[in-house]
Parts: sequence; C-alpha cells; structure tokens
Amino acid sequence: MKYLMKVFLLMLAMGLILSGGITLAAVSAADVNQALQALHLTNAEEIMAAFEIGFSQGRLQPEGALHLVKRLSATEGSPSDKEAILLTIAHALEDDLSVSTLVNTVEEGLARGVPLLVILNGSGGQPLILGLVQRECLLGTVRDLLYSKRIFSAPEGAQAASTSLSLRRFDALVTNIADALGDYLEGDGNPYDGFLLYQAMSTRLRNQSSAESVIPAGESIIPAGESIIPAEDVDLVLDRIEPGDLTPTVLKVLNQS
Amino acid sequence: MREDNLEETIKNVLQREVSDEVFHIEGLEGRIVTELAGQLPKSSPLEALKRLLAPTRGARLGQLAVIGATAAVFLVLGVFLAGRLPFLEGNPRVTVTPSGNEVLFIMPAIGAQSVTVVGSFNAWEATPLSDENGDGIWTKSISLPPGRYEYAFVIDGRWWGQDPLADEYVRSFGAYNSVRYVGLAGDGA
Repeated sequence: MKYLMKVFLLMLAMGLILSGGITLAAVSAADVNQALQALHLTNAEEIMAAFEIGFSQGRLQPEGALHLVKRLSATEGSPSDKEAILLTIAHALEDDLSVSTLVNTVEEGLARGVPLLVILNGSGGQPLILGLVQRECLLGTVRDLLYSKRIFSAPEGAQAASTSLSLRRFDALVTNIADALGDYLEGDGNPYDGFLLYQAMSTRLRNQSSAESVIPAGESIIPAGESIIPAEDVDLVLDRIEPGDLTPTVLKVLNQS
Repeated sequence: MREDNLEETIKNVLQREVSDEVFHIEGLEGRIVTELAGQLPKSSPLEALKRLLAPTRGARLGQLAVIGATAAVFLVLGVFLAGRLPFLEGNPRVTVTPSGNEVLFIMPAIGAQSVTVVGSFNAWEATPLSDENGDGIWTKSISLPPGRYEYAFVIDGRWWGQDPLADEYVRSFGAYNSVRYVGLAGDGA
C-alpha cells in the first residue's frame, strides 16, 4: 500500500510539471514584441505600447496579435502598408476603441489574398469595400453617437449608473452597431435611408442578444469577440437611437473615403 | 543517529516500559516510533527521494516502469490538450466556454479534392471538411461558444460564401460570407 502511495505521489508531481510546461507555452506580450521587431517597422514601439494597452483591457489577446503579425509577416507586400495596417489598429486602441472587428477584417482580407492597400483603405467603386480606416472611423462615430445618447461605459469596479455599462457590454454595442452599419453599406444599402439603417442595426442587435435578460456577475460567458449582447442593452439602444441619427453617422465615414 | 544505535534505543524504551510496569502491547509500536522520531537526524531531499523508491532492486525496477508509463500517459495527455487549446492552434478569437455548441458545416462538392471552412471562429485559417464515404457531401462538426460567426467554404481553392444553412449573408471585400448565430436569438433565423 505504501508503494502505491509513493507511486501516486510521483505521478502527481510529474503531472504538475507537465501541466506547468503546457501553461508556459501560452503566448506572451514578449512573443508579440519579438514578432513585431522581425518586421523591421519604424513605429514598432508605438504599436507595441498600444497593443499592451489592449492586452491589459482585454480588447486584444496576445494570441490574436501574434497570429496577425505573423500572417502579415508571411504576406507579400510593402512593409509600409503592413505598418499602416498595424498602426491603424494601434490608433484604435489608443482611441479607446474595441479592435476585434478590425483584427477580423485584416485576417479575412489576408486569407482572401486582398491587396494590403485595399484592406487598409477599402475601395470606393462598385461594390463598395470598407477598409480598416473606414471601419475604425465607423467605430469612433458609433461610440460618439452612444455618448450623445447618454450611454456610457463605466470604469472597472465603479458604481454603474443606469446607463453606464461595463466596458465589455459597451464595446459589444459599439462593435455590433458599427458592424451592422458597415455591412449595410457594403451590401449596397442607401446611406440616406435612415429607416433601413435602423432596421439593419436593430436586426443585428436582436439576433445577437442573449436568451437571458441579465448577464451574470463577472460576464464570463461573453467571449473575446463581443458576440453576446444582453437583451436589456438592445432595448436601451433601440429606445434612444432614432433612424434620423444614423444617416449622419454613416455619412461621416463615407465622406472620409 | 547511526543504525547500530537503533537497537539500543529500542531496548532502552522496552526496559523503561517494563520497569515502569506500564507495558502493554497496544500502543507499544506507536510509543517507540514517537521516541525514535525525536532522535532521528533530518534527512536531505536526496535521501527523502531515495526513501520513496522501493527497497529491493526488482521492486525498484517495477516501480520505475510504472512511473515511466505514467509519465508517457501524461505526456500524451499534455500533447492532446495542447492541441485542443485554441491559442495553440491559431484560433485566437474563440474562448472556450462551458456552453459550447456543436455546429455542423455541410458542403456538397462532388468531385472536389479538398473542402475547408474559414471564418471568424478560426481566424480565417482553413479547417478541413471530410468526405469519408466518397458521396461528395463534405462535413465537419466544430464546437463553438455562443456568438455570431462569419464564414465561407473553400472548395479546391475557390471561395464559396453562400451556405444554404446560414442564418444570413453579408458582403465582405466584394464577396459574400455566410453567417451563423450560435446559441443566440438569431440562431436558425
């Protein structure tokens, strides 16, 4: 019996050592920095500093950033275009915006073999393609629209007012409204038709709402991509935003292209 | 304490028990162990490790074989788990949640050499579908946490974004993507 106990203890020790090895394999900020340095960028430090803000806020995962940088590195194209793409994401983080949509846009564009400049600046022709620059602008204008409707994000741990949402819930709203409006425009939607813009937004928010009316404490069920919106947040937005608010919002983006 | 002093110590304890007329078989072993414990020198970590091993060579070999087999099992388990962890397989956006949903991707592509699915759930990296019975129906089941996912199939290198099973379709980079809502109100829309 004592021998069995000894064997069990040794097994446990080995299991702990192996588990530790697996944990150590997780991607760190240093790995991302190393990959950035390999790209020989002019503004690598600024990009890394912004990425670190994103890591600390949970808006960017080191694994996602490393995947993106490595994919960019493996893609043929001008180093300055690659840097401009990373700088756009960095500026969005510095501007206190969620970047999951931007990262996804770049990943999709690279997977499709879209030229780097189109990924960055889009294309004003037919069909309309929104690039990273327009998507970032859209995120900013939607965030400003929510602020103007007195829907805010509350700092972590702060006592939330009735319309102050946690950062994750606020990001989920901004990301999904901007995505819905962007997809409407890319689908040849008329930017002057506020009612259809509103319909695109409300359909997306309702489709993306959770079955539960209230997100549990800790919000652990929300994945990194801000995929789930509590039903009460959907009601809040649809109550305060009107169709007439949306045309000026998208025109700001289109005028920039 | 040296080993040749052990016998004398045990004898002394026994003599004291007898002289004090408190000799009882019950508890005797415990009392001797307690007495000895106070006199034993502190052992080094190496000696402690040696004591974990069996006393005879044959038993030790058996014990080491069991430990080796256990290590191999943990190694295999570690490699298996590492492969399942999203951040190690280029799947950065998806975080594992307790309420994962199996999503079945089906693509009829008779005569195709390869069919994969790319999407926001795998950072647009190809996940292969399989057609084990060769009937031209390619399938893959993927466990996804609740969320909205854009995706497209890639058939022999050609993108196809209009899955009949999708909840909706969006234009992206001038082409169509399919959309699935998993575990949300839009699921099955």
